[in-house]
Amino acid sequence: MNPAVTNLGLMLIMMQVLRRLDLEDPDILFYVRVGYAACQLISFAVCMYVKYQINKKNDLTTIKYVEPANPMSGQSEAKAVVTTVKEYDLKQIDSQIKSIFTSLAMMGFMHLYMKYTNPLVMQSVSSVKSALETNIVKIHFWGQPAAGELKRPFKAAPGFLLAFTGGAGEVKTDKASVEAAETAGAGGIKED
Amino acid sequence: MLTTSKTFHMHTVEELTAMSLFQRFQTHDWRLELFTLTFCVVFAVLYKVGDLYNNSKVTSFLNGVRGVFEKNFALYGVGDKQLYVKDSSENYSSYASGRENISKVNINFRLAPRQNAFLWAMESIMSMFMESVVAPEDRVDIVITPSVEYEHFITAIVSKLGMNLFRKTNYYLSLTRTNDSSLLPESFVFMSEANEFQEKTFTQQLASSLNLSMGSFLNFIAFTDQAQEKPEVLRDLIPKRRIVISTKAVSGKKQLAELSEVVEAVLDIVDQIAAKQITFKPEAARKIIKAREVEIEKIQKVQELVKQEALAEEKAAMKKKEKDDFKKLSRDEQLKAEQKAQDKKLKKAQKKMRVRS
Repeated sequence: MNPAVTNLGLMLIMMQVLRRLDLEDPDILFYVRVGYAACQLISFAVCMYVKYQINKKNDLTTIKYVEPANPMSGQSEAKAVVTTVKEYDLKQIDSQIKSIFTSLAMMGFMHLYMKYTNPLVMQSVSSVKSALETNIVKIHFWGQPAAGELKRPFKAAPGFLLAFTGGAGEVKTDKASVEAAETAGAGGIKED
Repeated sequence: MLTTSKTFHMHTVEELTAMSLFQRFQTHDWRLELFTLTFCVVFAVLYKVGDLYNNSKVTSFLNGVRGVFEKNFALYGVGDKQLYVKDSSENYSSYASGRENISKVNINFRLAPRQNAFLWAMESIMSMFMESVVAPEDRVDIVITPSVEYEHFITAIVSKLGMNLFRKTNYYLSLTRTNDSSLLPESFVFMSEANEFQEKTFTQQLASSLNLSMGSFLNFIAFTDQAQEKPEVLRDLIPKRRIVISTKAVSGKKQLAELSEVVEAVLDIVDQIAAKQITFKPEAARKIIKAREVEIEKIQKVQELVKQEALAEEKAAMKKKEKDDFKKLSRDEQLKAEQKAQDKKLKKAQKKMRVRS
């Protein structure tokens, strides 16, 4: 099923759960907090397992693709990326781990400083769900073959932004554009 | 430790005069000073420890490859029995010279800033979060400058671990096409401008000096004539033949022996080129010249753009100045100036008419 649809369903269910929970009760609050922490730990553990799998497989197949220009991050030209499956996968999983910590920091601010409890409940199960649904976890945790939708480099999830830019932000893998970008002499950025 | 819990200002003048100098000294709270002093001492000790560690790293590396360099070169080290010059605690360099077909070898070290514990920690942590910060690492570049003339080209054997980073930090690698080869161990790829060069420079000796595990420390072996940094002016594009062996500053005996074999193989390739045992097809060289011309055009285009921008700016500035000057004039003078401009325009128009008729 489409993850967006299931996410919506999950959200509705969690909202019903929220209505039946008395968050003023310190006992229940404690369990909610433990539940949230446990869910984050599970997502983190999944990521670490995937990382371990990637390192174990040590797949050194070369992949090439063209990263689109991204004026927002100061990258004015499309850039060729030459990497290995292992390195690509590690990058993917690292960004997923980073997102776990980012959401932890956000939640810390919202819950500890602003004293909101609702997002704690909403974010607990859905964070595990989304962690299990990423492409990289599908390949290394669920053991799905890296073909079709899961072919590297992964395509960006179709969303609002993609429709807005008309697909200009897509990675390109066709031979002509890769070869042109590869020998364009874009390297040699000064260090320090 | 304090004789009294009172601070200096709590004592009366009589009490203070009654104290000895040491007692008065003790009335002050010295904790902040003690903390500062300890901090300085700890920093200084860490600095020295890191510095010494870096020194030993360089020494063990240079001693590890001593065999191959002393066998091939008349001079290894920087003279006066010194193996290296220390530019800073992070940057060291060494040198070898005195061999047929080679004009010089520079060995440049760039080590992690171990002497500055704070910088080191900061760079390590930042590199985890930001892509633009590269994690501190001990790197050595062995740059061999041949004295023989041969074609300009770029071809390299690059480790797959971090090859995208090498392409990003080395201009000459970003001019090449990457291709896998069954001739290489799985942890390496070829990056070259033309197959001709990559095949001819891949001698049997070089092939046998590489193995799978070397991908973890040998970054790349590159024949190049172009700069490492992205050229900004035409002068930066002037070709300069050299062979760069980039590696991590390893200290293992086995790794250093493997590295020595690579150096030996590369020197042999230069000898073979000098002896015309390796020659390149002229078509391949022509292809390279074409590629270089494209790069030259790119820079010319940018320079042209900059020139045009400067011109436009100058024009805008002049116009603004004229306007300002006009504003400064009195009412009468303004009218006069306007009249003058009008006359000029009219005259011009008349002149045109005359020419046409």
